[in-house]
Amino acid sequence: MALDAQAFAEYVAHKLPDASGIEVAAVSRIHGGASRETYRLRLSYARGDERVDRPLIVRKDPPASLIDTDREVEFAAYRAFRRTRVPVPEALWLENDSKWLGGAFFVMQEIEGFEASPQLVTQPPYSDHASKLGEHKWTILGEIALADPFELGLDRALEPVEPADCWRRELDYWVAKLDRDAGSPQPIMQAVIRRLRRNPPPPPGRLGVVHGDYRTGNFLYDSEGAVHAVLDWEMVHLGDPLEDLAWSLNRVFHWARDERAGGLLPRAEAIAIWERSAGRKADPAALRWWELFNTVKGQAIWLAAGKEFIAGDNRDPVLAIPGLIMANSQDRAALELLGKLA
Amino acid sequence: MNLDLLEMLGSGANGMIDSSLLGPLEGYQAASAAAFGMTLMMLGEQLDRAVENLCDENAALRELFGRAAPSVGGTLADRLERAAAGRDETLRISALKTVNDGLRALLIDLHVRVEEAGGELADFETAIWSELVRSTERRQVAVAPF
Repeated sequence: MALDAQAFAEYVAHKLPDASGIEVAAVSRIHGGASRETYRLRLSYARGDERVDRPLIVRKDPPASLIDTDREVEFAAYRAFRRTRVPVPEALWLENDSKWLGGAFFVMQEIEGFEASPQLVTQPPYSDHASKLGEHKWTILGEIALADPFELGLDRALEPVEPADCWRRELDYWVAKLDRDAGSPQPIMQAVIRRLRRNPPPPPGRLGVVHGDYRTGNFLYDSEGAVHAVLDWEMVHLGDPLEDLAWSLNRVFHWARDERAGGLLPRAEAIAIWERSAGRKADPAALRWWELFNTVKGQAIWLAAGKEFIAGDNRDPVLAIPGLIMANSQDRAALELLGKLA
Repeated sequence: MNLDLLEMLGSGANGMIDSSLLGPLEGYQAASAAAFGMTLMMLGEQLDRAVENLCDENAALRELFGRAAPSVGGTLADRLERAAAGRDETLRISALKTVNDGLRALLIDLHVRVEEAGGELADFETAIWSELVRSTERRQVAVAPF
């Protein structure tokens, strides 16, 4: 599928009735982002005497996606965090009517000139500033943990949950997804799930905003070690912020294939930075529960991706790779957390 | 002529990665072609080991079930005994995988019983975890992050 520049120009004319001379150019699809088809383009138009030229991103629902997501939730998160110190692009329009582009979509500002690749952080010049980038990455995650979802108005957009039920809701959701999509028995994951249910974590002191996929690869960074935008909020939800910290530490995201979480910093340093920024301690036992939980969540995502590729619902190769690369690593990550690896 | 099928697969994969197979591509198309080349490369790696790994794993699980059956009792013991007496009738990957799925499902049931029994079956719990660790070693992918 592709994005029709003419159809998008007509949509802009509908959204900006005062605009004239609308031009949509340089439309290209961005590789990755399997949860939505992502396009970049340049929009220009005249408004009065002024000529406006804007680089934009269009996130369009695909026929099938890596993650069951709600575009309205993602859009609401971008809007809400725009008012905080967490860097996010400006979200412009949300459109649920498929008559414009053949499916629902939303439009946001493109922040140009930065990288998002998780592998690139392990290579010069980016690797020269890995520690600084890690400092920034986990400081921002601490700021997300600190955010009050009620002050941000996100309680109206996100499904409510009682603090004591955070763990059960997330676990039930991802276990159901794993059971539906795994395609073959998962003895390691089933053992993990039994253990998680037998030993639930304490509830968070208060509900927080959980990004849901905060990892190297889902933010824009430069070659000097600065993060410029946090992206991919499609799994945002209310819950225990430790869930995000644990996901960021997931062994399968050790892109440098060493002990550095996210290819950037040792685990203990990452946690210390998060604690300073969030203004709270990460309870080690609770964090360990969420890390183990995230092996189930990760496995559900990787196996669902492979299933969708095989079924032909979405033949983007980015869906084929996780099942091959990540699934076994995720099992090994669980074994490591359980102390079963030598 | 007797072509090496894995080398042929590898050549096709390299052609996707370096664009020599599909000609000059740009942007999304180039990245997707390279990603699919990587996929083919990993499939080749896994196919090369698939029969050996599945046979080894099926044999290891049957051996474990044979040892555990007398200790667990009930209908589970019967299922374990039947599984332990099984054998791989063919070396086709699809058939081996079907058998493997059945054995791994039975391993889950055995693991639950062992956990419920506590210390009484502790030796089998250790054996199950050892086999699960070995199962991930068999499935290890060279380019995987962990």
